[in-house]
Amino acid sequence: MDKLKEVLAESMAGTPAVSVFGLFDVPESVAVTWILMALVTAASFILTRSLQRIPGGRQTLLELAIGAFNHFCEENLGRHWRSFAPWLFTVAVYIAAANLAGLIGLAPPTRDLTVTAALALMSMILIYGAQFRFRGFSGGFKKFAQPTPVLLPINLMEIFIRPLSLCMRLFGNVLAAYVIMEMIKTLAPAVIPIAFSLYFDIFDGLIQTLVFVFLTTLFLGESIEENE
Amino acid sequence: MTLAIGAALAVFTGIGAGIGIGIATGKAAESIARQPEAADKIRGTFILGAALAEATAIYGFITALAIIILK
Amino acid sequence: MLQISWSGLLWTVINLLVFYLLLKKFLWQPVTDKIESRQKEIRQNLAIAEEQKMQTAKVKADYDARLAQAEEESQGLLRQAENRGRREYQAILASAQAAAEALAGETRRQLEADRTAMLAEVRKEVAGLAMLAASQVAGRQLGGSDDRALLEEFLAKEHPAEGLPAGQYPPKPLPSEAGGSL
Repeated sequence: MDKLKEVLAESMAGTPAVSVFGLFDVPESVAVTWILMALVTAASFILTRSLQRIPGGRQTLLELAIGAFNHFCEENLGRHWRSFAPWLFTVAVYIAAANLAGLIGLAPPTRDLTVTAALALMSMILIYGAQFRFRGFSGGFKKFAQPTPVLLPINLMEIFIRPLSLCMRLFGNVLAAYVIMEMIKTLAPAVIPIAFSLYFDIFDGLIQTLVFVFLTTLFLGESIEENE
Repeated sequence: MTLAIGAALAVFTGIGAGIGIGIATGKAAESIARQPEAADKIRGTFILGAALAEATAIYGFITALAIIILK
Repeated sequence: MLQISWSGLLWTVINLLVFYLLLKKFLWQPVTDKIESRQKEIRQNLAIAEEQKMQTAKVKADYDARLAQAEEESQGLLRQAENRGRREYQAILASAQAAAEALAGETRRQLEADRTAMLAEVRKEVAGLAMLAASQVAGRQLGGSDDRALLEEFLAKEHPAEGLPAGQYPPKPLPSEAGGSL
């Protein structure tokens, strides 16, 4: 029990700093993010090195995934989907990679509130930036009074509630999964954690990726939707 | 001791989330059974609703941890 | 961990932007381009196929029309040939009949002439014989053209040479053969 408490305390205490070439310190999550970025970029190099006109097995899977993602964006964002799809795709890949980082022995960056806060902040900037970009300055403000002016205070509150809930949901889920996994490992150190790891690390991690991107896309689609 | 009780109370938010997600899942299953062709739209709405409901449980969990660890 | 470090926030934003550029350049863009170029190609191919199908249908319709026309033409030709055949057949039949009739007439005339000639011969012969017999009986030469003329007149009275109808020569042996002609 003391050990569990120790683990929990450690996980809540703040990220250990990592020194970069002895020049400056960065949080652990940032260092892990760099590793993940390098891995994913290398993988995408290999995957897209020789794209054929008639796809083989790997390319078919890749095209299926990205095609489905683009279709999803197009459905929710309308004709401006092309401007947002790469960013949303990046967020999806990043969160998925971060949530699965535990599988290769790294501390998931999404377990750091700073990272999820940054993601939510970028989503907020994207959503409200797009609202003003595609509706014009006055049109962007008018959007806050839609569908009825009564909702104005709620819509204004949502500017902060939405990113907060995105940030906390992702962080809370990953942290909760981590804490529960630590508890299970304390109770049953062998084989058993593997089954739970499948659910908490893989399934939950991917579901949370889906939820984050889905909600961002939904909010984005709502803020740029054209009322014709 | 009072901290532990407070943390336990905070974790009770999970009950609401569980009931909410249960209802949402049931309704989603019913809707898909009634209209299988609308399964994609129902699934999207369901994931959104479940995510929103589940967030309350997560908030409770974080609050409990904060109470215990941060004192 | 429930606190946000501002330097960490800045670092993460920078990381995300860099990651965005990398993924867009090396993963999203190439794959999306590939998918869209293939979609375009498929659309083009479908359009071409549609066009070719229409062309084929047109050619087939044209061919069918021509076939029908040819059919009609051949029917016309056949009917024409049939008509001509029937006409020629009729003509040949008519000419054959005419030739046969002409031949029959010729034959009849020939026979008639033969008979007349034979009758005249016979009559001359009979007149000679009668004269010979009469001179034997009378013991004298029945001579002179007046006697011969007298005889001939008598013979002509008894067996008029032109009295027989054309079809009744030679004289009918049985009534059942009456009217039997060529």
